[in-house]
Amino acid sequence: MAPRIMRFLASVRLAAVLMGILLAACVISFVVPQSNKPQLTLYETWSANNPELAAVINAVGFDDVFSSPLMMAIYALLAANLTACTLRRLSRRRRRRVSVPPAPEHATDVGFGDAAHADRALRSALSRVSRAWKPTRSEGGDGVVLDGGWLGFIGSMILHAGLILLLVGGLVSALTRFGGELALTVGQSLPDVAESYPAPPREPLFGSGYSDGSVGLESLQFDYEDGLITSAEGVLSFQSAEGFELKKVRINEPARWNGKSYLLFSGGHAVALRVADKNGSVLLDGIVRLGDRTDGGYADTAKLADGSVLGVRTAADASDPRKSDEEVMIIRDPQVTVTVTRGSQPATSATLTPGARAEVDGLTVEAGRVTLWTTFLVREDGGIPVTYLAFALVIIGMTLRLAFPNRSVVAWAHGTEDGGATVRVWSRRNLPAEETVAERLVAHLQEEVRT
Amino acid sequence: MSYQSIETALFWLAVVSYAVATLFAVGGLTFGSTKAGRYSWAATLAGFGFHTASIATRWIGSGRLPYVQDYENIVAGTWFVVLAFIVVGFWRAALRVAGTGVLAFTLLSLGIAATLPSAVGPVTAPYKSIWLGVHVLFAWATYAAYTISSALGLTEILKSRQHPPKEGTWLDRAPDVERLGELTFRWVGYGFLVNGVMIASGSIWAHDLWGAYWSWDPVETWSLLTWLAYGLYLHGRITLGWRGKRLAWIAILALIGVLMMFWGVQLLPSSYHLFKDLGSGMGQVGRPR
Repeated sequence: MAPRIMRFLASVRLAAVLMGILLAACVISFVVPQSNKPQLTLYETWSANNPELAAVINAVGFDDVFSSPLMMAIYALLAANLTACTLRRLSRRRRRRVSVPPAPEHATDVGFGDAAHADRALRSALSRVSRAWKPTRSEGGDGVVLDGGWLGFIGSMILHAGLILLLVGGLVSALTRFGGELALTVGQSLPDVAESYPAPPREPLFGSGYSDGSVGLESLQFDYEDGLITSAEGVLSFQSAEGFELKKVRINEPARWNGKSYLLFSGGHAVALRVADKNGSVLLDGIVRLGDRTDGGYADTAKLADGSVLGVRTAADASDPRKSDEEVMIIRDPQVTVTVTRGSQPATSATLTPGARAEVDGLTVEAGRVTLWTTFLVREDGGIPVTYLAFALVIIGMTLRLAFPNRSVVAWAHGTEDGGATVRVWSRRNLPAEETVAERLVAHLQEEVRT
Repeated sequence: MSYQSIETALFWLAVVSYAVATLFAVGGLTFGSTKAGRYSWAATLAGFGFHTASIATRWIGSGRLPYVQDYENIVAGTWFVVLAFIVVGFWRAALRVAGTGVLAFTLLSLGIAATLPSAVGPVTAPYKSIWLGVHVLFAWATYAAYTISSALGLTEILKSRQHPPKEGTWLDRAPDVERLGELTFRWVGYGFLVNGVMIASGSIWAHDLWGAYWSWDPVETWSLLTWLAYGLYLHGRITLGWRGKRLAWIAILALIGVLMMFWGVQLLPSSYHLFKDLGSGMGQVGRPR
């Protein structure tokens, strides 16, 4: 039973079926918008337009096909397939198995008077062939397998071990990964707790994803060229029991603190606003983050304490609308437009500069500083060292495997009808190096016949 | 005359030369003319000269390596393909017949490049990474190696179908099918190795840019599948002792995966690898949303 399971797990047919399923999953992920980021917006739009189809797709798990339970089972089977293949290749017994000898025209026969002479001659010839080629008695004991390219064999083992480790890394990542998005305005600091994240973060299955410290955004600066961001640099402050630290963060260069990486992701403008009604009651007093990109700035809405809706819109450079649009994250001459909407009544609005105050539909609106906010992807992944080690092993293993190809020559002794014996020599893959060794072995055997 | 106009002129000269080379190569193969084969080789060398000059002009004009836009990646990627073919052709003149596949593929790729915006743009923040440089360099090498292996596989199929062999023809001068199979294997092996480095370096870059080394993005998935397909080829040859047409067909068909990985997924709206608008606003600093 066990050998049969092993054969099934190590079979190329299983590998081909698994690859076929992966290919099918690829096609599905192409056709069906995926709900995993960054395709989320696309998926939401699509599912809103096709609710019935979306319900079916969700039910079968095709909305996030690579994370579906079925795919998890496929990955597990793939890991088992790789492991079984590797173990099978390691098997000494399998390597010693000699295939049926080829027809005489594809091999060279050397005849001897009796079996004992043939055996002695083979031993002697093998000792003279090459030190780099290791002889192994074949399974039935009537032949010898000469193996060359041992570094290549070791390379193959390293490669397969690397591939298995890659899957292990994926598993460790799945179990230990922390992932969230932290929104910070310049000058703001937040404690490193779950409540600081606008959406619940993905927490590790083991251990806590948080510390007793806090994270703050000290500054954020952008450079543009032809309307495109060519560099973005922020300074993050980290406060913990061990002390206070400032760390730079750039695109491609996350800030690392307490095992977590903070990556610059997206953002917009933020405005400090104070809104009060006729009676002096404060309806809003704080920072409003604007996330919708407009021509020359950002816009968003905020709900006031009395139920009315405050629309806020900014311009980065009121004196130069073109620059304001092209270099929106450089705030030079900011302007804030506020719009108050109450039920179905027509909206009223006013435009202010920072520090100015205006009356809008009976409300007193005071604009403070206009600054930047940004979302940081916060990541922690215990599988990274394992995965990177796996990458290294795969590449080293592949290099060795290809640089030192596995070669093998077989010498098979068998008795003849007239009481004599023949040693048949052939190369397994007809590689030039195998042919050379086979020829040398035959030459030594022929010398033995003569002596 | 601006760098841009010189580069455009050189680009079209390269396209015309490759078109002529392809016509002669197809003619040489169809009519068995070795003379047509020689003309094809000469036109290939001329095209490669223009191609190199076009890339050099862009490099000098922009002050940076051409690795940012899709246009640049196609032009540079095909340059690697033709370079690999020229190396093969100088090493063994008998292998120049494989140019039929290589040149047609190059011409098609450059045709796609011609439809894309080619104006030089700045290097946006996500592109400023050493790991991206490694990733792109190995992607080009992968593209070249797999194209050559596919062309050699095609030559092997054509040669094996020639019954009885027509002596003295261009195809007849190519090495025998066993030798072609061996060479295809070597190029697949090389491609498999550089493809592995491409995936690994891309994952490291992705981890620092997107916070995840693997996201099952369509490009990533196709690159993995392509890698596995070529892995199947290598396994088939090394472990299972496969030879001949079966392996040659795998080498040819796996190129579809390469095409999907490099260009097919660019047509999809849901890939991390859609860099067209990257850097145009803060919302797209890390990736398009």
